Amino acid sequence: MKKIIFVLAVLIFGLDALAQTPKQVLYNCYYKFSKLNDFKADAAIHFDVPGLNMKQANGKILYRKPNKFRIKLMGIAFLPKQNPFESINGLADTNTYVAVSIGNEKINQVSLEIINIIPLNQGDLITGKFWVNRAENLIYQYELTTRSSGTVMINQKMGEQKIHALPDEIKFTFDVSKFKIPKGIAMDINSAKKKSLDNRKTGTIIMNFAKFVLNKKIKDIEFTEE
Amino acid sequence: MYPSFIQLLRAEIIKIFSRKRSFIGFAAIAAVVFLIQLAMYVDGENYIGLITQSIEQSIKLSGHIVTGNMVCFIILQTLIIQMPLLVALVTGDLISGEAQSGTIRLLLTKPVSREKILFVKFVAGLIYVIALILFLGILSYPLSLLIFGNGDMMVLKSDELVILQSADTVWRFIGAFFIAFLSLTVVSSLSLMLSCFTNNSITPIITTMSIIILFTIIGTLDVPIFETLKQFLFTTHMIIWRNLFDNPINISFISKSIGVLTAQIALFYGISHYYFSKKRHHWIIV
Repeated sequence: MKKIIFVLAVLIFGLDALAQTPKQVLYNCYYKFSKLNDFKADAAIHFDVPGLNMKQANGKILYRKPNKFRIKLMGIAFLPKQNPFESINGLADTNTYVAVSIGNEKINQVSLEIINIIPLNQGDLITGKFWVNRAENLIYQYELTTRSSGTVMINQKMGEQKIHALPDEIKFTFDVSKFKIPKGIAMDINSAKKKSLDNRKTGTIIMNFAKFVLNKKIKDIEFTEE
Repeated sequence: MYPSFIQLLRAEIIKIFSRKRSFIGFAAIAAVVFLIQLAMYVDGENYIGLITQSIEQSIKLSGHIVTGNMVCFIILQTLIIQMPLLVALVTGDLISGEAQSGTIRLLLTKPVSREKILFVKFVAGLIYVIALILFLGILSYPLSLLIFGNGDMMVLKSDELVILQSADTVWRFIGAFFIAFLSLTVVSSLSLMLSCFTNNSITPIITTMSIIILFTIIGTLDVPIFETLKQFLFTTHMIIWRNLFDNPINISFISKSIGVLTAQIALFYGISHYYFSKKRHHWIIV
């Protein structure tokens, strides 16, 4: 009897999951994340960008629903233009985009469904591609093609805050144009040493998060850039 | 009574600083430093924006960019190439100037060896170089920190941007000023050497300046036949201070350049020593 109930349950929930449209899948991911109002965490940021030579930067990441976001650092840093959580919040209104499931892919032993979205309005986003785990309602990876910044791939490594749809690590991979300052402007004349040119066309920024503080109200002033 | 080394040195320093020409260097340094500080204060953000615009297409720059550390680096980058000319203006006639005016005869009648006289003049030249470097250091580093504040440093290079943490910059600047001192000492030794060869005070100054300009031009030409030659030019090694702001630092590369600069100081001083002490010049025989 127990076996029959189990098989029925698997079939019912399995069929229910299969019955979800791509929009519903994306909405469920948004809904899971939307339960979080505020959070902050320590951030360690690693840079691997052609033309940029800098050590790890440490700071804090602050977020408040729906789109307040800041990476608070002490010194100079180059940061991604995108608020990584803005795209997830953008999935809330399912009437603003078309979603199409285009297949499945296994990334780091996790089976993911690939859903493409095309916005219906003429905003900055041209197209988006999400790698989603239906069972967990989690987005593990997404690729955004925007008018202002080209294509950005965002990988999320889930960890201890998986239940809140918060990653332990976010990796941004983005297009970079060749970095070159005219020697006259850099006043780098008569250089004694020539480095081998870095001809890579993409850069990555990896943010590792720790010490999360969830749903504790963050003051507005903390989001203001100094 | 035999004049002591200190007495001779004091006399040489008084001679150097009693000439108006010796202050041209200080005035030029002050003018350039203040101009750069003013320009960076008024338009620094735009200037940096111009440099970072290609990288900012994909990512955004965050934090306080125009810091005292960065302004000091820009000042050094601009001035250290020009400073040898200012040094040559003073050290180029340490011997020949006295030969032209005839005071060298008087100096050589004193019971002091020629070697000592030459060494005193060399040390006096070093003191002038140190004074110039200290003056540049004070105007460009503490003053820039006072005006622009402390903070991480963005190092502008033609092929990359290096970001250094503020705590990691002080020792690099001390190293940079030390290499600048060595570089200017090479110029001082070269001009002293040329000064021994003539009794015309202008010739060694102009010759030293011409050599610096010629070597700098050769250094900027990316022609394969000059690649070997460049390794021996002091102008190639004078700019090695910039490599102290690399990450990571190529210690062997910098050490090699320090070695070349030191060897050239020894070579130029050695030739001066040989020529001044062994040869009978017409201005001594007459």
